[in-house]
Amino acid sequence: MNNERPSYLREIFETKEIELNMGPQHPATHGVYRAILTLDGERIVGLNSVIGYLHRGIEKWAEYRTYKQATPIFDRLDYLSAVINCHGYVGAVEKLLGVEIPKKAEYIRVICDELQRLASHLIWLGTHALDIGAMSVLFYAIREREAVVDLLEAQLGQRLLNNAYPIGGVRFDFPKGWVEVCRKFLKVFKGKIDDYEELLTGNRIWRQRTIGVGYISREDAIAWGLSGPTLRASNVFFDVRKSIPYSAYPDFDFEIPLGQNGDVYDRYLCRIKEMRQSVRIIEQALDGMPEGELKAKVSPIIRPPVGEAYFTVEGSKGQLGFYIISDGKEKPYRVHIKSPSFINLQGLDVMSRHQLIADMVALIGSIDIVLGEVDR
Amino acid sequence: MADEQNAKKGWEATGEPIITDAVQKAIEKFGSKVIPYPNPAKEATIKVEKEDLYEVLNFLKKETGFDYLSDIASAHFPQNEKHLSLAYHLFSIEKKDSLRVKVEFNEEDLIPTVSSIWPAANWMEREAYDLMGVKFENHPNLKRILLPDDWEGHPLRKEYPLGGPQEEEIRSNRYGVPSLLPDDLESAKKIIEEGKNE
Amino acid sequence: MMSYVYDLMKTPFVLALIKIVILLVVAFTVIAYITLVERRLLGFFQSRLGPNRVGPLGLIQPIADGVKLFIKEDTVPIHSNSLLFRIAPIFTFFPSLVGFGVLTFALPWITPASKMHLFALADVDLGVLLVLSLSSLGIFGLMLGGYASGSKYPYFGGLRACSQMLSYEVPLTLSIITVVMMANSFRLSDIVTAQQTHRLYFFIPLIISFVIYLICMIAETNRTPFDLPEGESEIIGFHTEYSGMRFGFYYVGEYTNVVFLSMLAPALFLGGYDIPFVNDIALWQVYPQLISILGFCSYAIKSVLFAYFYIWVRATFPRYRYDQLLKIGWLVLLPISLVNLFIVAGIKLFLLK
Repeated sequence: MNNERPSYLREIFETKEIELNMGPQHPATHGVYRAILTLDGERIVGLNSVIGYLHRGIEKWAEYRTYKQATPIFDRLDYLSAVINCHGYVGAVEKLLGVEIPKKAEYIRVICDELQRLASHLIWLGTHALDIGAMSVLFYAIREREAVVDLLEAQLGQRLLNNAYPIGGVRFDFPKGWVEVCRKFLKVFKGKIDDYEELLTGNRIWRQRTIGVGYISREDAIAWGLSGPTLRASNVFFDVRKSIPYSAYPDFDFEIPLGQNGDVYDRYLCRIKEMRQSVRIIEQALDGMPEGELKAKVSPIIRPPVGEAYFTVEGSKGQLGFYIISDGKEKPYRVHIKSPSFINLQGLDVMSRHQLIADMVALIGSIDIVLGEVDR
Repeated sequence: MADEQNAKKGWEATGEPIITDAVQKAIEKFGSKVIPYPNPAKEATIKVEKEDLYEVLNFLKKETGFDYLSDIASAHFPQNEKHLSLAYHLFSIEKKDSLRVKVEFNEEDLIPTVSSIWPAANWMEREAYDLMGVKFENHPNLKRILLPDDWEGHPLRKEYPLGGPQEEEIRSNRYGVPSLLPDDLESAKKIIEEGKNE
Repeated sequence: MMSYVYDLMKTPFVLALIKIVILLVVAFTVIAYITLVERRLLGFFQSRLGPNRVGPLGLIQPIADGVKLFIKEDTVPIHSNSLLFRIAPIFTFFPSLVGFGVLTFALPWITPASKMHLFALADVDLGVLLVLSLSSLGIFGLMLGGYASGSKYPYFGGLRACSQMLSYEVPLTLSIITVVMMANSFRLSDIVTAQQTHRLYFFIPLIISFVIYLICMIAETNRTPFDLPEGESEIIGFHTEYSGMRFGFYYVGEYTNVVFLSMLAPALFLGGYDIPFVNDIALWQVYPQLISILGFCSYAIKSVLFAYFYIWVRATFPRYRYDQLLKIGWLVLLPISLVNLFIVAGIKLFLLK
């Protein structure tokens, strides 16, 4: 994988490095991410990331809201997986309060989280394929995401930014007939994943474009703090659902797909396999749905004990953490968000060394950043 | 007034300190330099002085296997004796063990960077510097990251208003200073044409 | 008076003029509507509708697009080389349009009065050579446009376009040369006639040349999976700085190329205006007009097949990378086409005497 250009070429031809400004209005940067690339020909020799175009001060804002009022703000972090963001924040407050959540509520949360993960991965799949030039996959992925979003809408009342869970449980049981529709969808969806794989996994061009591109070693991946499929593709077993179990995940039997080589192709495979595992989890949760309360008893005005809590969930991009400091009043004293996209983007520097511009596009797609989460 | 009384007390966590194996090891190695810290959510937490921070974190990574730096979170406590705090959230991928290391210090203190131990700390520390004004020593590239380079102030400090330093100004001038136009049509027209709005 | 006009129409010059006008009108219509067909077909492939709002089935969409392009502001960047920037789009558009002139669309239409060939404008004896040289001219438009924009993204696009088209020109030419050797002529109508007399389309004996032609045809027109010069998710392309009708020239030029190469391919490999499974020449002696018309239809259907192939490929494949593309061009296609050329030449020399 030595992509370095031989130095004698430089000596023969007097070459000069040029700087290319990629973004913030570039179609392949998935938002307002700006990369200042130093190029030798088409080869990247330096990368300077500029972020912050979408900084909305969510952490500051949350300090001025009560615990309940602050919940919907965090949907705006990673706007493609709002449900999981909400779970992270609500879970952190519950951890601080020491509330026991009813089993049924946990199951419903797991189902909604995994549906949201499917939706987020589908958007990723479509845009990633579009970046590499496979145009049709986007439309197939959007078609299936539409069904997922419809399911979420029926359960949570909103499609995109669904202020999903209250502190202490869930708001509603599944509407009538929802479970059957969901089962039917999952059955169809398994075949659809095969379709995507048929279009991409064995495709020669796809393999040539992704195998060996954006390599990061196991040691580097851990040291740079990557998380989610980006980390697991480098053969590191770290999934919050298994490593720091939360909610009802210990009840289910599922696997964490690992990659071997840590390149763009392995990240793609990891996410595809993760979708299959999500389907498995949802099916198990639907089968084993317990009876019981939907919400634990939480006082209407939430005043957690003075102290701090760090609660992490497995977001669709990686480990999403909420660090909440309470001073015993009704507003959070400080909320800090560990956003996986932010940290994963940092690793882009290592991955993009000596790659081509076209690889850069594949790379940004493969780490699946959402700028709302990077800039907060 | 109740707020003021609370403010004088300062912030201190309630709950019991949790002692895990890693905390035990660190105490054995560093003695009284490492203090177990109470936590209501039953998370293992230790508190160190900023002089020992680098040494302790290095030990924790090398000896107890905390190879993954999950997060660096900063917080501002103007009512406390030491105004700023950092919380390093460590995780061990092999042992599936978590640990929080807290350090408290003042605005002008220099904190040793841990980006040489975990490269991941690079941007996390830049973020803490940008939003909270924590100054790091020997950091390779300590610049603002989320805010523009010419931004003034550190927004997550408690004294920083939610709407920014210009909040009052913006709020008061947004629609101009409200006033009633006189009943007399001619003088009202005159005021509007001259753009006077007093 | 009428007889005077009739006589005038029979003079070669006026007849050629009329044919040029008809050819241009037809070609422009086809080019305009292939954009619509492509978008509708892509919609079909991608489980969506495509443009269907302007007129019935969206049939007026190309006209609306054209009007939009014409009335848009034509911007010229300050840092550009103004003259080159302005003339560059013409280089892509017109050479490919000239190519239509050498095509023969059907067997001659014989009327009792004269022996006019209504379905060919200029069936020159070096038709294939003319086509090849014209398609090389097309590179200038892309290269100059990218260079003259004075901006980095178009510059990369121009560089990519230049190297890509140069490297795929060679295998394309070599694959066409095998056809020329089989037909013993550079004249396109002779190539078709050779296939008619042998009752064998050239894509069967020259299957390797045919496949190489198919690949190079896509690469020559810069379309997926070889659309690197305008890889819109990477470098946006050599026409980043263009707007209005100058952009329109590039856009139309690309489709002109697509249409032209789809029309050239049947003539070279699929027997052109030959009607499959019918002994054309014998029947033509009896019913000349009927066979002419049917042959024209057959030619049109074959061309549509190739155009459909373009769109199909676009909907299916991801994009190649720059270095991979050049590797395929120089390390795979060029050796194969060279070996193929020698084999065909050997067969022609020693076996088909």
